[in-house]
This record gives sequence, structure tokens and C-alpha cells, in this order.
Amino acid sequence: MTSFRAWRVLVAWDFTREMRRKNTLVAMGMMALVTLFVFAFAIPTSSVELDQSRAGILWTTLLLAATVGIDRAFRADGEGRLLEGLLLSPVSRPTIYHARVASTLLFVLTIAVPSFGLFMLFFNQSVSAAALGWIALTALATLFGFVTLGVLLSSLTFSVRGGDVLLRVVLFPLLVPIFATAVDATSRAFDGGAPDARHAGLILAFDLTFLGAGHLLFDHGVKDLGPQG
Amino acid sequence: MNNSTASPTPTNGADLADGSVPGALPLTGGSPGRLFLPHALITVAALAFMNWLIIEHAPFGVKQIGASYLIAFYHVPSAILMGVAYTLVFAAGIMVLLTKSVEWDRRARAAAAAGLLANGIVLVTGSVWGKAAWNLWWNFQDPRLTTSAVIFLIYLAYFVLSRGIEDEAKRARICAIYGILALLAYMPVKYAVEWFGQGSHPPKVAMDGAQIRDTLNAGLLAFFFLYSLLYRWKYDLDTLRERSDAALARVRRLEDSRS
Amino acid sequence: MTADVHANAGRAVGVQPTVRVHRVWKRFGSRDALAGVSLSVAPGECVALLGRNGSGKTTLVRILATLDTASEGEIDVAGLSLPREETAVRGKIGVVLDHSFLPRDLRLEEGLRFYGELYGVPSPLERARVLAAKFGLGTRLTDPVRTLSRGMAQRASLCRALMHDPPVLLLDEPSTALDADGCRLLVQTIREHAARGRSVLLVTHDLPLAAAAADRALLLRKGKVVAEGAAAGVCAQAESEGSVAA
Ligand SMILES: Nc1ncnc2c1ncn2[C@@H]1O[C@H](COP(=O)(O)OP(=O)(O)OP(=O)(O)O)[C@@H](O)[C@H]1O
Ligand SMILES: [Mg+2]
Repeated sequence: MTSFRAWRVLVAWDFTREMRRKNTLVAMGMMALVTLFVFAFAIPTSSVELDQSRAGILWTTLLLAATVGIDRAFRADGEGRLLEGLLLSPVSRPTIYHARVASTLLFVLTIAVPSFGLFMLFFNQSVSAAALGWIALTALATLFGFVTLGVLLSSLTFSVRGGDVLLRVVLFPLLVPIFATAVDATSRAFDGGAPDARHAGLILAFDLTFLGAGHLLFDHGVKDLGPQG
Repeated sequence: MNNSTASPTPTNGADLADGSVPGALPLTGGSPGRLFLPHALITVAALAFMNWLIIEHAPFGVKQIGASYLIAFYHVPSAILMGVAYTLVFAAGIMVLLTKSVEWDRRARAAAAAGLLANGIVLVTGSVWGKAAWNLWWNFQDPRLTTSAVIFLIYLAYFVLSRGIEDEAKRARICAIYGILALLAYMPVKYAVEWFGQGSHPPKVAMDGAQIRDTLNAGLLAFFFLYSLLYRWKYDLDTLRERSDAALARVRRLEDSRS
Repeated sequence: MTADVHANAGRAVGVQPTVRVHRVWKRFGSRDALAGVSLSVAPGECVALLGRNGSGKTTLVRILATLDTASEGEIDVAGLSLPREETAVRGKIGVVLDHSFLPRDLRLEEGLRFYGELYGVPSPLERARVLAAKFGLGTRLTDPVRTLSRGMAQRASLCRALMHDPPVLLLDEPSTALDADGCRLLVQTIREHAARGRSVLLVTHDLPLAAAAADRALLLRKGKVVAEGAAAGVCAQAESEGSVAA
């Protein structure tokens, strides 16, 4: 069995599993909705200041929603015992990691698109097609970065007591660089400009660094989980 | 920080007299706290010498920002040694994964503690400098200070993580991985803050001249003693804690097996 | 000492054991969960592993299942050494632990098919149906796993472990929550499996089950093998050990 086939099997079944009850999608969607509402009350929605903070609002919403999905990457089914079943199977550890990255990214993107629509609606924004393209590209690359690092950290914290809070404590500071870059790139796109090579370089470097780290370190993270799971 | 850590764990001979339990007695090994006092004295002396150099030797005030640049003699060595300490956390993390030994985890944790102290001093001195330069205690527009703050947060989370995990081997493994990721994030943080932070540019101060270099070197040495002292303190304390925990567990098990 | 006996026993009959555990230690902090355990399981043999709560049985099974790593010692499973060739070993073992590992929201047949696909079983759905029918779950195939009763989940767990017809079966308390009929099925499955030249390591507190299913038995106490031999004899000793302790 090739790694790629195993990867496909894992992703396909993650998807089927999620589609049965959509717990993760619903939790992420609610988080996005609630966050947007909170911002609507915290920030004047029609003022000029909004133009300066809109990218930040959008990315904070996406970060909080994505984190819910990342936290549930291993916790969702049977309190993480399912992972042990996968670890027993003859699929290499990196393949399990890459599959979980892919399925988590799929769920995060599924929620990111309507969240963006709601954001535009709530805050009365309109953008050109070109800007929309830049924002979509930035979001894709950035959310991929969130997920590569997030899934690795989630594999470390999901079996720890209070791991949901712990995940956020360790994840958010490490995401600062890619988050700041995405906010800046999106802000430019909103203003009618385009992100430049530094944005692309930093986001891609981040993505590849932590994808590589996950590939190498995931195995060490899930070793000796202990009988308690 | 006193010398009490130097005393070895008291072993209650009566309780452990029954040597029938297999496995190595976990009370052997190097003696924590050895030469701690001399180390502390050297540190105090080196810090005093550095301060004397700052006052007597270094030129008082350079153009642009005047006397406030003197804080750089605290700031710059701490920033350099912070980097060294965090690199040690990274290296020790790799050793944990390769050797599966909790010993390296203790080293990583001690290095992280030393790095965090250095980082804290970088933040405080940077803040004081900012007060002198912009009359602001905190300024997110200074990319270097902001970078240090983010790094501080990252390594603060290291300790939150390490406290959150009870099982020793698991903690070692997880913290090792986090320590590796933390260093990988350094460059992205630096560039992101510089390029996309609120950043204007901080005042650049030309720090050259023989007297300034002497003073900086003395500062590097003095702060090296200070941070290595903290490293040893943390390492020895954790070693003792682990040994006494192990000894207690053994005593308890001996009592269980008798009753 | 027991280790040498095993090495010799294996060589004497000229059969390579499928599971060989040689002086294995497992330490949790300062506690030794396994203290120099040696054992072997030959092809076509079922070995029962007995012992009181906390004697280290699950610890050993998890190490053999490649979930945990031993602190010390040598282990071969199906001619491959652990932990070096662990990915290859995983394809050769079927494992039952305290959880079915089937996704709760999938139907039973889907959950089994999922594992069948991971193990590269040729026609996983057929295989799932055959096994489920054999274990009396034929009518529950399209129900979500979360709706199964505990005994049914245990049967499903056995199906999952058997999906790829593994050369080595590692069963940790497989009779938990099983009814009399389920236990009979379990014994029958183990005997059939062994009769086809495959190996079974059976951890259980159910002494009649061990006596019925196993050829040999070992008694573990505080991480050490304290008795081994024909299943009936060791079971008797395990029984007396239990009553002494109580
Ligand atoms: N993750 C762990 N951390 C610390 N100690 C552990 C861990 N796992 C097991 N132990 C200890 O190892 C010993 C053996 O445990 P194990 O689970 O192997 O026993 P067992 O024989 O399977 O018992 P039972 O019959 O109750 O299932 C016990 O003393 C247990 O406390
Ligand atoms: Mg057990």
C-alpha cells in the first residue's frame, strides 16, 4: 500500500465521518459567527477607522474559528482513542499527519468561505475581483500554515488534561508572524493594492518550515501515549 | 537563591535499609549545587566590575540619545545570551528525542528559564530605553522590542506547557518538540514584525570605539555568569525534586510491600 | 533463566517463534512495569498471559503492538525486530485493546471497511460482512458504531482486529463484556486461528477461557514471569495466587 493511497483513504474517511454529524463544522461556524458579532459591538462598523482594522477583524475571526477545528483534529472522535487505531495500522506516521492536515484544512476552508461572506455583509464591505483573488490566495496559504503547525501542536496537547486551553496558549504566539503577514497582505488587498514578494516569501517559508517539522516530529509526538490514551 | 540547594537529599537509612528492591537507587550521580556559592560570588563581582566600567570607562553619552544609551550595556549582552539560551533549548530538545532521556529535558528547561530571564531583562531595559527615546514605556512601533515580546510569550508558553503535563516522559517529549518549534519561529517572527508590524524604525546607535567594546565584553561575561547561575539553579533544583520524588515513591512502595 | 529455556525450546523443535520477547523492561519514572520479561509464542500456538491487576500485561501488549516502546530488551514479531521495523510489524498484527477504535459516527460496516482499506485488504466490505456475520453482528452492519452495546462493541473490535487475517493476534482482555455465546465464539476463533499456523497472545482474567483457548500460559507478577507451562497448571496457580492475595 503506497503512502499516497493510504493518505487518500484517511482523508476520504475523515470527510465521510465529519459529514455524518458535522460537529466540527458546526462548532467552527458558530465560533466565527459569534466572533463577528462581538466585533460588530466592539468596533464602530461605519466609521473610517474600520478601514484600518477590517483585515484584523477578518483574521481574528478566522484564527479563532480555525483553532476550534484544529483542536478537534484528534479530539473529535471518541476522545482521541481513534488515533490509536490509526497508529496500529501499517500507515507511516508522516502519512497520518499529512492526511490530518489535509482534512483539517478542508474543514477550515469550508467555514472560512461563508465567514468571509458574513464579514463582508456585516461590515458593509465591497471589493474588486482582483482584491478578492489576492485575499483568497493569502487566506489559502495562511490557513494552510495555521493547520500545519496547529495539527502538530494538537497532536501534542489533545491527550493532556486541559489540552484545549493549552493548545491556544502554545499555538497563538507561534502564529504571530504568519498572522501579522496575512493581516498586512489582506489590508493592502482591501485598499486596492497587492501583496508583494515579502508577504509571499514569509507565508510560504512558514508553511514549508512547519510542514517539514510536522513530517519529522509527529512520530515523536504520538509515541507512548500511555494506556489512558 | 541561596546555597541550601547544595545539601544532598537526606536519605533515610532506616527506611531504605531493606535493599531487597531491585533497580538502581536513584540517589546516586553528581552532586547538585556543587560550587554554587563561588559561582554566585563570581557573578556578583563580574556585575560590579561591569557597572564600574559603565560608570568610569565608557564614554558618557553619544550623539542622538545621550546618556540613556548606557542601558545598552545591559540590553545587548542579554539579547545575545538570550539567543544562546534558546538555541540550547532547541539542541537539548533534539537530544531528548534522540536519547529519550529526562536528563536532557531538565537541561532544556533550565536553559529556557535562563533564556526567559535574559528575555525579561531585554524587555525591561528596552522599555526604559524607549521611555528615554520616545517618552513611551511601551511602543509597538519598535520592531526589536516587539520581536522580543513575542519571543517572550512563546517561551512563557513553554513553561505553561511543561507545568500542564504530569507524566515525566511525556512532558519531556512534548516540551522537546515545542522547544524545537519555538526556535524555528524566531526568524519568521523577526521579519514579520520588522516588515508588517506597526513598525517605524528604531533609533540606530553606533556602538563602536575601544572603550565601548571593552565594556560590552565585560557585560557579556558578567551576564554569562548570571544566566549560567540561573541555569544551574534551575537544573539542580529540578534534579533534586526528581530524586526526592523517586525516593519517596520507593519508600511508599517498600511500605506497601511490607504491609 | 526463562529466556534461555525459550531460546532452546524454539531451537529444539526447529521452529522460529513468531513472537519473541527477550528480557524486556519498561519503566514509568521509577516504577518498573516490566522487569525483564521473556516469552515466546510459536506459530500455531496460543499463549495466555495471566496476572493480577497492575502486573504489566497491558504494558507488554502495547509494546508488542508498537504503541509504546520498551525501555530495554529485544523483541521480534513475525520475524521483524521492534522498534526498528515497526511499520512492517503493524501489518502483521491484529490488536484488541480496551477500545474498539471504530469511528463512532460511521456505520459498523463502514468502520470495518475503513480499517480494511488501511490494511490493504482486497475486498474490505465483503470481509467485513463475513466477519460481522460470524460474530453475530450481521443485523447491525448499518447501525452507527455508537449505538452498539458494550458486548457488541467488543465483538466489533475482534472483527476489526481480524480484518486483515493477521499472522499474530494480540488480545488484551477480549472477553470483557462478552456473553457466554460470545466467549464460545472467541475460543472458537482463537483455536481456528492457531490451527492455521498463526499465533495468539491472550491476556485475560477469565481462567476458564484461558484454559479452553490457550496451549500454554504464563503468570506475571509485578512485571516478572513467575510461572509458565501448560495452560491448566498455570491457571490453577493463578487462581491460588488470586485467593492468597484476597
Ligand atoms: N502511563 C503510565 N504511567 C505510569 N505508570 C503506568 C503507566 N501505564 C502503566 N503503568 C503502571 O504499570 C503497571 C502495569 O500496568 P498494566 O496496565 O500493564 O497492568 P495490567 O497487568 O494490564 O493490569 P490490569 O489487569 O488491571 O489490566 C501498573 O503498576 C501501572 O500503574
Ligand atoms: Mg490491563
